[in-house]
Amino acid sequence: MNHRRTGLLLILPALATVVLLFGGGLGYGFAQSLGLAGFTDTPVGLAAYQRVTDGPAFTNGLLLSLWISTVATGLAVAVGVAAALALRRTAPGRRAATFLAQLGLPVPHLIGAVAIGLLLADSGLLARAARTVGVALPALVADPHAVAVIAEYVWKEAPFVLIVVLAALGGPVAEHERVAATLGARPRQVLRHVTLPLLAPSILAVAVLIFAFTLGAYEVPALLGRAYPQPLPVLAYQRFAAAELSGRAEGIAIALLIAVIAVAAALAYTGASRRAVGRVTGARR
Amino acid sequence: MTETGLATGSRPVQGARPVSGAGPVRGARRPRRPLGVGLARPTVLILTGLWVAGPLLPLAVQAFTDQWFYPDLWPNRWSLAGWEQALGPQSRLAEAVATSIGIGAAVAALATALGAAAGRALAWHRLPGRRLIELVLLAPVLVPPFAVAMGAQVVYLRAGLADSLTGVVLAQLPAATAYATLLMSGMWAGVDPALERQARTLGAGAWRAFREVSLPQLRGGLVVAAMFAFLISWSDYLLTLLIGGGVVTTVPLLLFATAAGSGNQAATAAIALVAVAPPLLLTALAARQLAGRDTALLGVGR
Repeated sequence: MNHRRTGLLLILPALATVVLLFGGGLGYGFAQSLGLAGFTDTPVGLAAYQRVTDGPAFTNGLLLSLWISTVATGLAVAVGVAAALALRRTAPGRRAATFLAQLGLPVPHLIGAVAIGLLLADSGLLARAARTVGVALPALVADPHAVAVIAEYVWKEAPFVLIVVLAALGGPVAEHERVAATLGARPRQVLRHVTLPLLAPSILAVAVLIFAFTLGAYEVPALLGRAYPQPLPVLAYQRFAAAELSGRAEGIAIALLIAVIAVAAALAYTGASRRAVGRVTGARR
Repeated sequence: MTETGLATGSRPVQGARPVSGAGPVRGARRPRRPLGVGLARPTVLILTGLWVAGPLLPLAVQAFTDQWFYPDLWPNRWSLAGWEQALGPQSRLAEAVATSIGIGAAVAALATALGAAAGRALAWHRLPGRRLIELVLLAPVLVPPFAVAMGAQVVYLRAGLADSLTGVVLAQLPAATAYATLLMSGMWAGVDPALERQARTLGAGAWRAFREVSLPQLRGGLVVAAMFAFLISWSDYLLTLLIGGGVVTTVPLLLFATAAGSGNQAATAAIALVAVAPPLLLTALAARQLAGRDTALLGVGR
């Protein structure tokens, strides 16, 4: 039996599926955005990219997208890590928390958006509750700061962070902490110099996944965001679905720009995670 | 555990934890309480439960009332009008559920089969260009899938697959396959290759050795992989819209249209409840299988 060839034969169908159906669409999309293929009246070259990036709609959309993704990622990580550190003490606590968090994970974002909408809308539950205590809330849905969009992402992704960090805490972290504490480190010092650096690779990995996902997600801002400015995914779909033919190339161009930002974030992560680990373990891993 | 999340699933060593990772020694007293334990544990646990369930609970109230005026904290009349509209002949919810289940089942079956084979290769075999293969399999996790669907739409149109169930299945398949592969490679890593070799030595063919030795150990993993693939398909909105062209109406499409277009909150909530039930049920049922397979969940619900 040729071991290596059997391995390739086994992995080939899955790999072909991803390369053809995913990579193929990506590549063909790129060609269309350059005016090289598809139903298009875009001249060959970067015309679609120029048209798309020209003007405030793109700049504002990009800034809004980055704002939403950065704030949502930061808050989800902060909440998830804090909850994990508070819950790590005992096995039952961890198991129960993991179960609860797992239950929330597969809830589709679209349903999350509907639920958060009911909660935060002008006539939502939160506004009603605030009114009974005599507080008038500002608009939270379709507001300039995309509060509802960010809230939905944080709500959905914080449990994901919790699960990953709890799993990472199950590793050799506790031992390193004990050693540091025995050597006289104060709790705050242990957290800062041992726990968080050891968790950094996991936290960074989750952060990249959340950042990349929120950057490319459509449903939530489409449902809870404003009409202008629109974050990039919404802008991309609107251009793509527009009546005029040139919109298709423009929509694809925006979508590919989002992909580039997401992949750049992932590459930055790869570098950062090596450094973060190296700081604690003397770069042995 | 380096690089949890992005790469864990693809690492053959995932199942095997080092001895030092077995957790704190029971009974050993900690010299000092580390920081971050300000709140009592039950409080944090209750907060976790509230966090997850809290935003979903108003849906359950909203779906059963047609009069809930601002600023009342509680509806002043209960009614099934929302359900009547959601389930009525106008809304096509039953049809959408059937469509969603059909597409989800096809995606789950295909992705699980592809993922089980590829996961075995990743876990057991020496592969040339392994890093590149892993990178390709991670691409659907990082690149927003609609970027792909927009580019591929013309191809689907020309091939006559646009606006068809087959087209939607094909569009959803790569991401589901990538996740199933990452998950299954972790599962395969927990199975001892020596056992199949022994069966082969005793005269079993390759297929029989797999079916009677490895398959029973993988059964739980396969169920989880199929469940995830189904849920990835179940939650998809934009791919279905782009490739299905609005002709293939799944539950998310119906929910989005009702939420954005109708202003009928009771019907919206009713459809949302129908859409949220399968994910919650399946996850609760698979809770035992899921224990310890944390990062594999990352693909679901997005």
